[in-house]
Amino acid sequence: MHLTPPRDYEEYYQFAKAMTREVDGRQVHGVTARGIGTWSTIATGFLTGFSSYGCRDFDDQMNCTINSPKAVEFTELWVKGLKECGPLAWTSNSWYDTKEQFESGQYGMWLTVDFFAVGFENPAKSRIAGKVGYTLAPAGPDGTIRSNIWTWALAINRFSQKKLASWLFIQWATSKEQLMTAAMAGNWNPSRQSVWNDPRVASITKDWDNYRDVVSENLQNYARVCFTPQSEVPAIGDRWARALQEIWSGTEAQVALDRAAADIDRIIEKSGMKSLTQ
Amino acid sequence: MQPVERRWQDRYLPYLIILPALVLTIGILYPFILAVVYSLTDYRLVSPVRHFIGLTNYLDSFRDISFWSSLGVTLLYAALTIMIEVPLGLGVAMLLNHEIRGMRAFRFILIIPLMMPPVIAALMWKMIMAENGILNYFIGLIGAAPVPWLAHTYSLLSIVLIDVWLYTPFCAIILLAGLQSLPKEPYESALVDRAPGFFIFRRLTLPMLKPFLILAILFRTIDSLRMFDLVYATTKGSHSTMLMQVSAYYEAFRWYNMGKSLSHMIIIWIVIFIVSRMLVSWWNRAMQRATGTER
Repeated sequence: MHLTPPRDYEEYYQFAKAMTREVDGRQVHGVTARGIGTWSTIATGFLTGFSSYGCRDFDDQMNCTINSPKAVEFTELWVKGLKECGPLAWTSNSWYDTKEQFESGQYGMWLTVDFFAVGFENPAKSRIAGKVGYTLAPAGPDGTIRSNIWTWALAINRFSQKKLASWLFIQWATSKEQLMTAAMAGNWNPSRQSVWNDPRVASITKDWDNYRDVVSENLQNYARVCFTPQSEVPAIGDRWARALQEIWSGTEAQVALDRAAADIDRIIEKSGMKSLTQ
Repeated sequence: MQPVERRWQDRYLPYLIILPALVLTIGILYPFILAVVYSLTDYRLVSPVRHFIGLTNYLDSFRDISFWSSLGVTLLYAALTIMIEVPLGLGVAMLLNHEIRGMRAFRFILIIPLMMPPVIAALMWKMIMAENGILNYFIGLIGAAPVPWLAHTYSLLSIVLIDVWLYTPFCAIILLAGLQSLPKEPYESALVDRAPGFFIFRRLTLPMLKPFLILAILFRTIDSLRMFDLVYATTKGSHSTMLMQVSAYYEAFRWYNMGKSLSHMIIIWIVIFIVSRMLVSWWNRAMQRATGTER
């Protein structure tokens, strides 16, 4: 069965509602997402939707803006979808819980990282292998898609006494050969274009519906880092994720986000980043 | 005049004997003192530079509403686990104190949860409490809607339930040992006088068992106030299950604020120390009363 993908977040919510029903005596929820109180809950689908909706985490003076009227509107819509059409105990869903539940066929949609497809399409472990369709994230009200890239980075500490060894390690770890070996062994991170275009890697994805086209289009046109670059991403993301949990548990969105924004402003103030913008 | 060898022994042997205890004490005290010192600095894991900032970490915590919420949840968690585990452990111990057929097997079954690593127990219960888990399956059999065991306010109670499953046997074993060490004569006299069962329990068993009850409360208080693994493995510390240990973990290893994290640890250590001292002095009085050495 082929469905028309949701074009915006209102449709995303409506689709989630329509897909929430019992199938063969089992409850299927229309939508899922990570829900634990850590920044990973923000960094995946939520931040893509939040950014596409035209919201930002900080303004140019590094004032937290996660409680702006637009941000509150989007957050309310996102959490409403999860509350009405999502996992029963969303706040305890880590990435691996959500992935396992999705692979067991409990959910209709999941706006998440593309590399999880290797698990979805593994017939030995997944009940939905060969049945998943892939699409771009819904667009914001102005038709824009801003898809957050979750990057893993290897860095060299400036206090390191073995910078050359670190540099050699990074070269090895990110080399074509190493990424190729990893991808072929099921560690699905073909992040170099040469690896992604390699026929051996392409052959792995040939039966994954339109996965390859969607990922390529997303990377080419929409993917970007949507967090404002700063060193306190884990602390700020964790605090923000807790606000989502509070809203899901019944606190008014404006109240929860105002409190979180005040805490985040304090974290930024303490880190000294605010003075860099003045 | 003593031989030279004897004088050497008299002088140094006592020091030699206490040396292992001394080494052990230093081994315990050194990390503790280091933690206190670091809690007075702005030590961050991402920077090798640290400065002495006095009590700033402590004062920051006292001004932070999430610190008080975390402390409150921790105290509530400890209170709930103790209020359930100790009476339940006492009931189980009294049942197991009867010498009937098959009781040895029951005693063995009782300690199975204790043999399980807490993280494994927590993950096992997480599956049991999942939306499609066995607990909701049984609830469904009576026509009720599935319960979000690990969300909302349920989550704290669910983790208390896991704690009860895991540690009630510990209380039961301590109290069973206590019951088996009680003198038989007072019970024989009570039976001769045809005293009712509840009277015997209230007037004989409970007073004589008091030191063991306090011991069980003491151990479970310390453990509950330090709880981390059950919470982290189930909810990762959602806003309603953010115990002090979990918040200290976040502060240290996710936000890299080692100094602030250690200040949380020192505060919870002070709470544990005060509660433990009170319980130990209560236990001393109970022991003196039980052994008739009360002054």
